[in-house]
Amino acid sequence: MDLLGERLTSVTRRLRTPTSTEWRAGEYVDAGLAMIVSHNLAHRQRESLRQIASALGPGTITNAMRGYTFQGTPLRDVTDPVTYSGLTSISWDLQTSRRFGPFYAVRDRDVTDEPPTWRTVRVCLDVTASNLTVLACLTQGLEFPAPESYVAFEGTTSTAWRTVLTLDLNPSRALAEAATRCRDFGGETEQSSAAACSLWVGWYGTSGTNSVWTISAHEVR
Amino acid sequence: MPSAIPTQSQPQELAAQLVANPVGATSFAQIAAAQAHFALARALPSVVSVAPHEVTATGTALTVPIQWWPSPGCRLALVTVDLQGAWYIDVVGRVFTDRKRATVALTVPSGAGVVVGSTLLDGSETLAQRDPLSATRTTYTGYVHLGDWGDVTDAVQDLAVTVDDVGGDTHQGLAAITLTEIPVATLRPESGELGVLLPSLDPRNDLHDGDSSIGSGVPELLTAEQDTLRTRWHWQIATYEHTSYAWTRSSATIGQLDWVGTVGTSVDPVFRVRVPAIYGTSANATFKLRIRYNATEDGTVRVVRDVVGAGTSNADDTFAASVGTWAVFEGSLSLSASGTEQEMDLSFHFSTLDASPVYVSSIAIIQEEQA
Repeated sequence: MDLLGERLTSVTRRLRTPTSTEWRAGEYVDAGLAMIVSHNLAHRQRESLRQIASALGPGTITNAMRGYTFQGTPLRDVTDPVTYSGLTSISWDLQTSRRFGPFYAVRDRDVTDEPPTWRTVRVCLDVTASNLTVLACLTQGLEFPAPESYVAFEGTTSTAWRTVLTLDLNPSRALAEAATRCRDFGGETEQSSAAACSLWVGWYGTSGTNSVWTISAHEVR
Repeated sequence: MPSAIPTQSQPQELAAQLVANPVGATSFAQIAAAQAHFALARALPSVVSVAPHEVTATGTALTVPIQWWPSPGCRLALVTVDLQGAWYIDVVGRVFTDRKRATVALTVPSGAGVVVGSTLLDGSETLAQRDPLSATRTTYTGYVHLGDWGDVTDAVQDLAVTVDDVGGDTHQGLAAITLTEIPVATLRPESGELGVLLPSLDPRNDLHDGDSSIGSGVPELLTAEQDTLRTRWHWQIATYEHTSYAWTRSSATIGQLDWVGTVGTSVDPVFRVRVPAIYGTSANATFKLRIRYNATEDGTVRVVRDVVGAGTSNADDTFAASVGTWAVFEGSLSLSASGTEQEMDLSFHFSTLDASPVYVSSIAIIQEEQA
């Protein structure tokens, strides 16, 4: 069975249901109305995908800037690996990246023969690329991107000039729920269990003019 | 008795309901209630996540606005703030830094309140700015509570995050701002919150609306399904609400903004969104377009909608002169979900009648209630 519930065949929209004032006392819910309500809820579930972030980018970037130094002085909390690949292509400092979120992940993505897992996060960057590499990383909570602490990472290089680049991040099962305060008013508190994660978007230019104009991220199925 | 919220969706098979037969609370209503509760209280929106630009060191208080239509299931929202900071001295090629201080204050709507996280975000606490020799961020967290259901009006609310200097320390603005609604563990319809009162779904009977003094859960269930639309999709960008730092355009001809800070006037940037298909991919759903602006003359705002894989269209509207103060434009915006993977590229153009400047600090698109 579909994790999100069944929808009526060929119907990809919400269907109208009676309001509480239209509903007549004494009536019973028959299977037809039940199916419509079920369909609506299943459709709602599919369309509950959220916008995660939307922001202007850094504009035109400085080529060869990996961010392991600031004004020529090494950073204090990251070490230049000297050989660069993947996550360590940049330092993820403020010269080479932006942090978004945290947001609370939702676990309703079907994986064949496996338990459901976290939704895919799509990062879209409006860029001008002579030779531009863009990177995206998801981390648990507010954690910093590091080889031992990320839950999803993707990168791509483009020479396509003005284009929208897309990176799809599939969070690993290492992303875990944790107790989170969800009510705190009038002396009453309540905790829920939720998986907070941060989105990091970085960039590196090799040659020519490279710019990152906007950064957008949303969930997809 | 509070209704527990499932942490995962609750699938239902349509075949479980036999055509033309009454349905029962156990076979249908309790699963439907769980589905509705999940939509009302679990998959809550990330309201805003933006990265304002660094400003030249200043002692002026700078405010970034946030527009938020709270979901009915949300009782507490998380706010995080990263500060800019690039102060250093260069001694013979060697950089030395020290962390200047700043304050951050969060202004919340009537009926809401601030709850302490790592800080209270009330402007009273001195916070360290970023160290440019550090890659890791210093993130300050706080919470906004919405009181009891109904304490905050069910409408778009204006919040603000203000950074200011401390003593002789200047600041360089904000590096990141997020407001995200926190999933709740329970809904409490017995105390007026939205949702289904589960004991009203009597498992012994067919689901019907019998004695109104007891209730069988039918109106509650139908209403709860309709209320799930009130967990609203948000899209939003924001910058400093100050005429020296906000986005601007000074022209009688409609065109792109000067995206002050990073992008400038180099290009007309596009923001890619996935449009929710509430009423299908062919019917255009209506969203609320809400803009915070400052203009001395009437003008036009244009949203350029480039449906991915299809065509481009414009949505034009007019805004009134705000006589030198910051004001809110509110209109409706139709967005089609017919693009490839329901995606659309948005860009924003402005003009004024006399080519005087219009300043823009925030643009938000929020799903309207459409039960």
